[in-house]
Amino acid sequence: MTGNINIPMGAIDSTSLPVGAFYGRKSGSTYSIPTSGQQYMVNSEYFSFISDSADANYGKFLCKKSFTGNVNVLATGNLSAAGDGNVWTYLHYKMYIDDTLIASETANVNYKSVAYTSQNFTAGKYTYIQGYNYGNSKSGTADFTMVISL
Amino acid sequence: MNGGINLNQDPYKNNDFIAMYELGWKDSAASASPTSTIAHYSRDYLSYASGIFTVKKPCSLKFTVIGKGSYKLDSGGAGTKITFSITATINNVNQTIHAGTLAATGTLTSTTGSNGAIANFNIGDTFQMSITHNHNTSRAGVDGGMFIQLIK
Repeated sequence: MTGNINIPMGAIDSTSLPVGAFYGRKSGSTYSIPTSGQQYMVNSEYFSFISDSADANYGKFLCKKSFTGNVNVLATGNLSAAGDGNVWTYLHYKMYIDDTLIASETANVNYKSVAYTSQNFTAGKYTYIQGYNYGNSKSGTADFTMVISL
Repeated sequence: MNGGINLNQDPYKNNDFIAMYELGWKDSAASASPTSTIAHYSRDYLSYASGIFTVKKPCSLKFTVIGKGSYKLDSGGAGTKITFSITATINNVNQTIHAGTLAATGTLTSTTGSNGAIANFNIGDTFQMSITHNHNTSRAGVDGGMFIQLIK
């Protein structure tokens, strides 16, 4: 008797498994992908990250395998050196999945954490965050962390 | 009979991202460790409870720390300092595998650390991260976290 028993390769655990993470800092008062101090990690089955600054899609996750997952966005603001008195800063960010705007947030806080659940990611499309920090005519910096999980 | 059964195939590749841990915001005037947390992790390699990760199969992990601090200007003063450490119990030996300070003294912005540290773990070993912010005069806030990669 000749035969093969084919047992599927062990699937990656699908409970809250991180498959992409991004960190970056942004100054200025217009939306763009944070690039200062940029850190990223991916699970290579699901994403690649465009790390070439010469690429038009620099700072974006490219989905390699369609799936449904979650995104956690954490934003932290810092006032500029000029300061603007006794106010918290305004955090602004836009989050895109599959090149489509999913969330646009503006909040008068120094810290904001939001979970976006049951989002669809499609192979060949990009996911990314844009943001900045600006309040009371003063520009500061903002740190953004985005984690994509199954 | 010719056949093959491979129950040990591992879908993870070198440098795959397998865990993320975020220590949440702390807003107070005193030195303190944030308490709220977010943890995403591979159940293949890790379990997690109350801030402590336990390793489920032998692996080498690389830790990259991020930290963020800011403070409110109503009390004046200068920057926020963030101190972090990642400690582990490996083969029943307690040790610090990564530690440092993310300082922003004299400025209104904090800095981000990006050092990476690699440690080898066996089944049952544990690790955890803590951060503390330190500011003497102002209400300050800080959060920090770590990204963890599998090294093969």
